[in-house]
Amino acid sequence: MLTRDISKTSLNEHLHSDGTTRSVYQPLIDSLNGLGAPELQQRWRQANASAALDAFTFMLDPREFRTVPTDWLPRLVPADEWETISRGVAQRLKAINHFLSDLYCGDQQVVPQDVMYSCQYYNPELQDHRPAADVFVHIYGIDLVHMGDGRYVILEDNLRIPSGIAYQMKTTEIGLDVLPELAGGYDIVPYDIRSAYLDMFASLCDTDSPVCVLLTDSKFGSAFFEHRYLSELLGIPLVEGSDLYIGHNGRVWVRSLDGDFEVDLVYRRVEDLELFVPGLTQAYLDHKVALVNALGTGACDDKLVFLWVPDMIKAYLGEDAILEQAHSYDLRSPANRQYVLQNLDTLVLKTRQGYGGLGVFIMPDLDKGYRSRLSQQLIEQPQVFIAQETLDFSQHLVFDESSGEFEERHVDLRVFAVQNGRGEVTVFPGGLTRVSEANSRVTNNSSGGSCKPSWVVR
Amino acid sequence: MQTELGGSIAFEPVAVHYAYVARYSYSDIVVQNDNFLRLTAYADTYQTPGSCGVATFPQGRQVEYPDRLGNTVHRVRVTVPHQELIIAAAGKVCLNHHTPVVPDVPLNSADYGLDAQEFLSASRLADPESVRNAALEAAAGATTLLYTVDNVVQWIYTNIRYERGHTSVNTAAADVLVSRRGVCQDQAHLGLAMLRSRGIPARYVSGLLTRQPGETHAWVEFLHPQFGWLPADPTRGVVIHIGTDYLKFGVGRDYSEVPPVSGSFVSRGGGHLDFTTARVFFDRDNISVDDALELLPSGHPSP
Repeated sequence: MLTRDISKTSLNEHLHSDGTTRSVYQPLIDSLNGLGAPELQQRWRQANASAALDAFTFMLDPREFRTVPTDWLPRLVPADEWETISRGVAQRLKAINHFLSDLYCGDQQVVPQDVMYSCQYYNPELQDHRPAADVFVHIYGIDLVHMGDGRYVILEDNLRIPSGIAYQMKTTEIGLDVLPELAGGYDIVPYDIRSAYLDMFASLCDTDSPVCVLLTDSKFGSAFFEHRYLSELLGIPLVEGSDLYIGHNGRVWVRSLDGDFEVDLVYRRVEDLELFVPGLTQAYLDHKVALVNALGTGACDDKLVFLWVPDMIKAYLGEDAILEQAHSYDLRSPANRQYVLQNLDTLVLKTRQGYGGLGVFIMPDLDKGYRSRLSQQLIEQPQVFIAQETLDFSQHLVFDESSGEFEERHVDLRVFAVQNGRGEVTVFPGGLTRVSEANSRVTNNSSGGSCKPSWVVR
Repeated sequence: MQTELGGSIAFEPVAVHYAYVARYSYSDIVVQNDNFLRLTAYADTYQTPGSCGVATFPQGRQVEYPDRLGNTVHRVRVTVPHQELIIAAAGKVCLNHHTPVVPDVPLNSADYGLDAQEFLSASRLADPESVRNAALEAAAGATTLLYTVDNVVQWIYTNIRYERGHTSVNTAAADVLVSRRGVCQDQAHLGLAMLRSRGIPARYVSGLLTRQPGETHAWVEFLHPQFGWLPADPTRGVVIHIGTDYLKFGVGRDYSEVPPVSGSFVSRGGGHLDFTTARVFFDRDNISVDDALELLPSGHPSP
């Protein structure tokens, strides 16, 4: 079943570059062969039904119930590769946190001023405001791609409201439930998101058992599944903006039929706080409430600021970056603009403020008309973009339930980490593997991609 | 008074004070108002800025930084709920009455380095391709830099009627060419596109006319291979010798890169510019942003 000739240039996760099977994938492939296509189709339908019953959704259109398209075949990351990823992610999180602290409360010299202050998510009102325990980034999501041989490259950072951790848990949970055979021969490294989050929340508050709430944008938001899942997992109320108000004591209160109550910490899953809860920013600035993530982290979501993260690591930690990042071009420089215009057909263009795969243009994958429109836009407004090298990153087997065939799709890996008030970082093994559509290298769920379970295995 | 090629005719510099104020009104409460202000005098051979400042009412937190083209930008973010925002700026500038004596040179875009390329290519509102034929006509066969600039400026001065109400901040040079009317900003954009089309790097200038109080003005600068950026004003038909009539805030590839005020606000309602004016004083010893507020029809805003 898995002997079909795969003739292509990209690395496939289950193969070495010489075409032989990576030993870490052998037990999985044996299990798949043992089950056979008809059985896999049956299990796939079971898993999909289970996802639908659990409302495992990522809604692109609020009027349409849509479960997350998932390929239940796990992606495997050997523990030694994970070790490097984990150290690299923790290092980067610490450096970015140092930088944000220096940006808002110090005199940072790493990123040029015009880049920093022109950034949409830089907040001047946060100057001199220190968040609890000096932690800005509590929850961090980082997008990596695998180039083969354990070489992982960073594509971008997610620091405002990184989403996907519940998807990481749920894909693994359903996958193991419906396809327990696939775990045969593996020791999957476990993780405990609940304790890490609750410990992090408590470390940011003065009281031992703080009252925390999860602030969602709405039931109709794309990631509402995750908000609901995390609120249940963490045992904290799920609230909308209209459920919160600022009391006369300046603190944040929750409206409740059983009597209103005060809140110590808001795990916010919205960006424009004031639109949802007028006065919340001021309550935060007055240290009446803790926010996760802190305000102001979005400054490092900017795709141009990304270019200086290796310098942050050097400046604040005195170390070299453990993980490399995609080579990127600062288009403020005339020489870079010229190079990028001349080589546009081979590069990736990204808008500085884009997210969720929006504003990412992989030029080699676009048609000529589209490329020339983007080239014109680049000439007219270079300050809107950055350019990045196009990476030929790995593909992974996916199972097509309708045809019973295996196919290959590009995959990335979004890894999540938390940092508590003691400055300790926990990186959750596995992450969320996101799968592109056929003939695409864009893996974001907002852009139509699907996901799959990821296991770190010993 | 002495003249030599590459030198200048010396006049006494003139110290002036400027004040600018704008008032924005909103139909509903605004909870966040984030603005980039380019209202600080620019430093070059034509003018030397003294102390300059900006303020908003309600107050916001400010950062000040130079952007990549050397403009001083104040970013002010207001987070106090409001339904009216006043932006005020004031400062001192020494107008140097710079009168360079500049040699004309043959047109040759190869004279310009890599840094100048962005001022030769299309920007959002000034695309040289879109005005190529008109630029040829306007240049009237000129083959040298200063002749070309002169001809283009005079062509716009003659052919594009100054008329309000027909264009907006998003009107591109090509549209101005079709409608043959617009305000200083439109005439500047057409000038930029035409000069670029003839192989002359050109940039947009935002500022004030010192002897015409009321509003901001726009003109252009073109690049001389030896003498750097030099001013030209299609609206008034003036080239290089601008005397002490101009006060420059900033430069960009077109208006969209250097508006006096740009930004965004968070509100359920809409907003509009309700009042704006600017003044330049030749007879004052000092100025503050409070003086700018005096230019409002109703005087000081209520605290």
